[in-house]
Amino acid sequence: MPPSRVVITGMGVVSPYGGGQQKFWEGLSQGRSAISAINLFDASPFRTRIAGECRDFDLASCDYADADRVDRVGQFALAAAAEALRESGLQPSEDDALATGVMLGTGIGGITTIDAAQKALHSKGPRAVSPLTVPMSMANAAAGVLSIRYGLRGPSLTISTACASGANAIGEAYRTIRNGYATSMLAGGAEAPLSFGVFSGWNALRVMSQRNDSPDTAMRPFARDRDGLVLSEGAAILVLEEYEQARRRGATLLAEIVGYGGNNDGLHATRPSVEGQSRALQRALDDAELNVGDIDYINAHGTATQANDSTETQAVKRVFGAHAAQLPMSSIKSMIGHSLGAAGAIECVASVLSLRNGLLPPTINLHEADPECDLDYVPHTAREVEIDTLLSSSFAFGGCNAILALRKVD
Amino acid sequence: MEDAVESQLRDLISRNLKVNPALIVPGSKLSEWGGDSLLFLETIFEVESHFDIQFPDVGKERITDFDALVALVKRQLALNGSDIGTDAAV
Repeated sequence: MPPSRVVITGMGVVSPYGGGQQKFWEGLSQGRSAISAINLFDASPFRTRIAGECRDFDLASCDYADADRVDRVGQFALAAAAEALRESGLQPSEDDALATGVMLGTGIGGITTIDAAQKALHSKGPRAVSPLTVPMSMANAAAGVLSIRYGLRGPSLTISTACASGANAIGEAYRTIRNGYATSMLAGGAEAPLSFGVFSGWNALRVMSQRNDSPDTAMRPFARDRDGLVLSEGAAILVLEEYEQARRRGATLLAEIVGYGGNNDGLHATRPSVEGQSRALQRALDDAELNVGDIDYINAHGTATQANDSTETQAVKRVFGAHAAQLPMSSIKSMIGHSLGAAGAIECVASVLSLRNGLLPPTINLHEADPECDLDYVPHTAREVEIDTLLSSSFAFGGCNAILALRKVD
Repeated sequence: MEDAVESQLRDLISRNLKVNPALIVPGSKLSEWGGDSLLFLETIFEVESHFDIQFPDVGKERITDFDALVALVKRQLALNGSDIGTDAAV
């Protein structure tokens, strides 16, 4: 039996622009920054005091009665899943539910809950620690609550590959359907890393922008004067379906996932590798049976760290050769920050919206490119251009790389 | 007239277990309110936090109905020397 084709039939997003695809796409299309001063905790001890917070997040958008017993990361996942399922119209019957699963990426998991438990423990002792600490904070809590909320009985897995988690989760869900282990999957990523504890770690790592006085212009991927990333939070969930099933039930086929390349540099915990990233890009092209000239756009990883942006540029040039010069590539992180394990999934949603709307979101704050970053990064404003096929890149600490190849559905 | 402990407990339990407060009356059993063992554990935790008391680890299993819970809370409040009053506004 030939491998199944895999299509996307629904998408949901929680981003610093607010809940839902509409606000998300409006913000990206307008090239508007969603970065601001941190409200969620007292950031005054830190060098960096800005982030991409999901400030107007509404618990009701989770569409789940017990959402108050779910960590913030799971709440984001629930809200994104509710929107994705509404768009998809997928309502698994009792039988279908056995073949419908969840593949969720998260780099950190329920850290808000762990932070609260630590604070209670150290200030008041063990009796002050909530009995819900374990079920709310465990890494698979968010994937589990999606399966439970919708009665999904297929595979339910958590992928944790730091900043590539969301992309890896979508890639692995695509393989799950392609190889016949499920007919539908909720796949994506969620992260809620804006806690005092996590932030202290990132502060110590010295990779965050210190432009506290100008949050809108703080994150400058590929720019000569970039000074690091801005941390953010959010989630994206996509409904992936086997092509024939989706057609039979009359679903709108938003895009097709045609390839996936995942690997590890096998070299270093935090230093990216041109070699490793090139291999991942090539694997995605090979998996999709595409040539370099078939790719019209890359939704970049683009974290505005010194190491990432030049490495990513070199990897693209190595794989795409002469085509790289005419291949637009932009980083939406310039506008919404870096949401770690959610980023790859949020960028996958942005990529599908680019395919459907013929619009490439810009890389903002790119006034002067780094000489080592000499590609077309779609600076400042969104660009109208019809595209057919694209890649979405995610690279992560731990050496993980994940590339998704998407195409308009014929 | 219902005392403050009963009233506050009803409020807390109904909110935690998402159960109609009208079901939480003297004589009613915990098993009638729905919820699982984890939720009861969480509710006990909330009760302890709310009244700033600690139930003894031995004896929690005897909390099977509303009356037993009210009695235990009052006993612990008395041991702590706390008095929230029997007709305090809640």
